[in-house]
Amino acid sequence: MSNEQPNMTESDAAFERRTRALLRDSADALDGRVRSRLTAARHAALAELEKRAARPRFRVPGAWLPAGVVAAAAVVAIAVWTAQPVGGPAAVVADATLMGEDAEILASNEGPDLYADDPDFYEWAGTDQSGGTG
Amino acid sequence: MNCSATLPRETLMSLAGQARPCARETDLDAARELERFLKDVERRAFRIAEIALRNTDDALDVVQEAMIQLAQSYGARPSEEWKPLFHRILQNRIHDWQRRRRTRSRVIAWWTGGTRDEDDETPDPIENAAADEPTPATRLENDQAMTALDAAITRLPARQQQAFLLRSLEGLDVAQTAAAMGCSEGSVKTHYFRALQSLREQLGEHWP
Repeated sequence: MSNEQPNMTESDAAFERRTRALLRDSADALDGRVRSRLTAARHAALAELEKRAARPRFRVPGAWLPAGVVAAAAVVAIAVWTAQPVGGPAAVVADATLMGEDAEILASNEGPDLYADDPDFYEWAGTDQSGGTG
Repeated sequence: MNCSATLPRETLMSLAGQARPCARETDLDAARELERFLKDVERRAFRIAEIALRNTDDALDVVQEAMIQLAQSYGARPSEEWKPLFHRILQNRIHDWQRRRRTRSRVIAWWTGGTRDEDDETPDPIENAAADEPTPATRLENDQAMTALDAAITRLPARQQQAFLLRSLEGLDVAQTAAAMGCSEGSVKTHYFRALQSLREQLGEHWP
């Protein structure tokens, strides 16, 4: 300890050793009443530790709560972003138009008989789309 | 050392009754570790508080409060962090106690119109008598030296007293003392050095 004090002389160091020894002796030679009270105090502290150990462990510590909120918000943002159709607003409008046409066809009185009028045409149209050769 | 033998029986039974085996082991280890730490530090902590407060019962109360707060707030922290934390709590408690006492003294003085001074309280020599006696000659010399040293430490300014007791009695290094006192390491060195100089001046060459 003395080495950490640059201005300390050998005489200071001897004084320091003497005071330290005396103080430690006085701490070791406490009377029975004080020792007993200290033991009781220690047991009270250990009982507090026991209470703490008995509490549920799954509680979110207060310090982690903001981080948890940020993480949850990030997950929701990513989920919303990935759920959007690729192509942006124009693609959304196009999809909406197609859906409107489908609804129109479904709402009309024309049933599956429509396709029965000219089956060759539809067969040709299907072949043309898949083959791409015209 | 069989640590479990020194733990309170109720604590051991309660900790052993926990449902989760891994958690139970951890809790038992923490309880043993804390028991060991408190047992090691409690007497010196009491002396620090006693010198600062000059009252045995107040010192015991303060040490108990510090122990309980350490267990409540920092029981889960690594044990190597406990010492500076415990002494930080202890110093805060001592400071709070001294402030409350000053306020109480002022109120009593105002109410009674008297000049009651708690500094007049003299320690009970029987109560403070040492339990484990060395040889009579050594005891007499040490008692005289300790009495003079106690009085001299009491007269030190608060920060010098803290630095001196934490370093000399508790054996904290400069960094730990700085953490316990809530100041820089440079301040600790200054306070400690001045405390030593002041004590030497007060005790003089005739100090046994």
